[in-house]
Amino acid sequence: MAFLSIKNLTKKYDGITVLDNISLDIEKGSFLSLLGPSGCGKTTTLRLLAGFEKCDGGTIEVNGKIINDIPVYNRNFGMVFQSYALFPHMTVEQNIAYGLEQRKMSKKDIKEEVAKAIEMVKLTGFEKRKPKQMSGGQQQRVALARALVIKPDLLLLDESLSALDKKLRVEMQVELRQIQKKVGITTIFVTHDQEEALTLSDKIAVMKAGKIMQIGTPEEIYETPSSTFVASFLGQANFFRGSIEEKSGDIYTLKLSDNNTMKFRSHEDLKIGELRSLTIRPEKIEISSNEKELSIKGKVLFVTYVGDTSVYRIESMGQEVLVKRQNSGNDEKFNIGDTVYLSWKPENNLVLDWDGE
Amino acid sequence: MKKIFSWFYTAVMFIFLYAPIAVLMAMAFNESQYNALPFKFSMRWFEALSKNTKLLDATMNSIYLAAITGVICVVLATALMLGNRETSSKIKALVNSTVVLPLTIPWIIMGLSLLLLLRALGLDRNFVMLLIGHVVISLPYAVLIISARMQDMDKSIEEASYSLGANEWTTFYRIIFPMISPAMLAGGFMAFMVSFDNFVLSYFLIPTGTTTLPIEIYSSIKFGFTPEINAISTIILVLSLTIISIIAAIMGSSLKNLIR
Repeated sequence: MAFLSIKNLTKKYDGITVLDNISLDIEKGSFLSLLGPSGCGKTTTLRLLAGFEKCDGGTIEVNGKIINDIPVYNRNFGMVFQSYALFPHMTVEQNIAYGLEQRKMSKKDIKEEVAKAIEMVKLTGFEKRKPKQMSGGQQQRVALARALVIKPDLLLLDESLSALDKKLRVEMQVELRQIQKKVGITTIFVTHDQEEALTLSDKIAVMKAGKIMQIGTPEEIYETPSSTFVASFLGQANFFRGSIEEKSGDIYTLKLSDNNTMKFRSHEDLKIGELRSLTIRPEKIEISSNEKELSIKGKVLFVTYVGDTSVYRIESMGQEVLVKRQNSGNDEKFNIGDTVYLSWKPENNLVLDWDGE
Repeated sequence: MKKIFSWFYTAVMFIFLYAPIAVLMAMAFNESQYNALPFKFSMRWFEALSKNTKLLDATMNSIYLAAITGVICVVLATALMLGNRETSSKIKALVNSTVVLPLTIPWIIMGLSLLLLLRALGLDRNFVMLLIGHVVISLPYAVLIISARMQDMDKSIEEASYSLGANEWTTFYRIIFPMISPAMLAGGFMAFMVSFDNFVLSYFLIPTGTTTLPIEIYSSIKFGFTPEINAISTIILVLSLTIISIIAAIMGSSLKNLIR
């Protein structure tokens, strides 16, 4: 049985549905990211879990027990806010001790636990500082220590790294993941940053307009997105949208909207007339000056050199196609205006539903 | 040239604002009964004041009334603004505009309407109604000061407290109160001052036989003004300046602690 189980969770604000029948299971000790654009309901989900707001339908269960009506302060969930929300009138020590004081621990035990927590987040020597005397990264760590020291059953992180600059953010990502593994705490992380979600999570739930679009491991989500939204939200992807025109064996002909046609191979059973989006990741496309079986012809529009890779923009089938290629040092180079042929392994093309838009 | 002009302008403004007060304070130490010159230093009006029980009683009444008004206003304003954050945006807007509405109502109309209310209820003028009147006119000031501070407060700080296991009461006295106490102090003092020097409302509602300082000063102008009034005004000015300085110091240091 899952440790945390959300069933048919629904939330409305002034009649507008912001969470629409969400269901989600989380294993004990795992790290789940809620990923999506702003307004997708990810923060609302987190706030319902924390208990700051009441849901309009559905249940939240922890270990099989419904917690909907348990007030925030009895839930024992740790939360790290986007603004850190440290108590400005208290020192680092006092901030971290606050949660333990509520648990009626002895002064001696509190002191020990606080010292341990401060050591864990590498802030020894900062005990007597006030929050405003510290940098963003340090405040972030105080917030994390404050949330972890109460040994919560669940750790909730609300865009907790987005206020930091890029370099610090990557450092904190690694630290956060190490601490989370060490403590073994079940964690839910809200973010709009796909890279962050891919690096940190055991599982990712991609959300859009109050619904969960897909749940899976980072690899599953990236390699086999279930919709064009997920494919474009995580990483980059090329979409060839059109209707299935012909079928012979496992080779299909796709008629694109501007009457271009292209052939591709798929093991899926597709019907004539279906609207589909043939989806290929840029790094899965091979680029060559020779025509190959089922390749498509194109012209190089632009080349960007990014150190380890080169990114090609290629005009093909009446649209711009993105191709990413590792720079191994001895492969063929292409210049602007060159005619090229693009091909890919059939297992690397995804045939996703397309709503005709 | 421009600089000289701006200094001159500032000086004129200051003279305009403070010269009358300076004259009032100086005359408290002048021997003449009719505020006449030449100036001759004397403490005789302070001495006379110490024996003038009527004036001292009026002052004590004013302090007493203003202090109760201040405390009531702070409690009401804090509770109102805390509760108001939890309501919908419509109710919020309604409460915010209703509570500051008395600012736009002339005190004379407010006093008259409360007096008519007393008549309608068949009651005599009494202390409770006087207090209610003072609270109504002072409350908006306390509300404005306290709600400004609360709006600056990050709601997630409170939520953090709840998530760490603190209930509403603990969260109030350990987190919210320390953060808004400077504003509560300032709001309370503001309400105190508004009530302390209010003449119009007191004039309408004061129970017969009692008096407040503003009323006493007003009637003494009619029935023979002595520099004892200057003396008591000087004492009050010095006292309130001291209180303001202390509050400014408290607020300054606590604001420094709060602002990141």
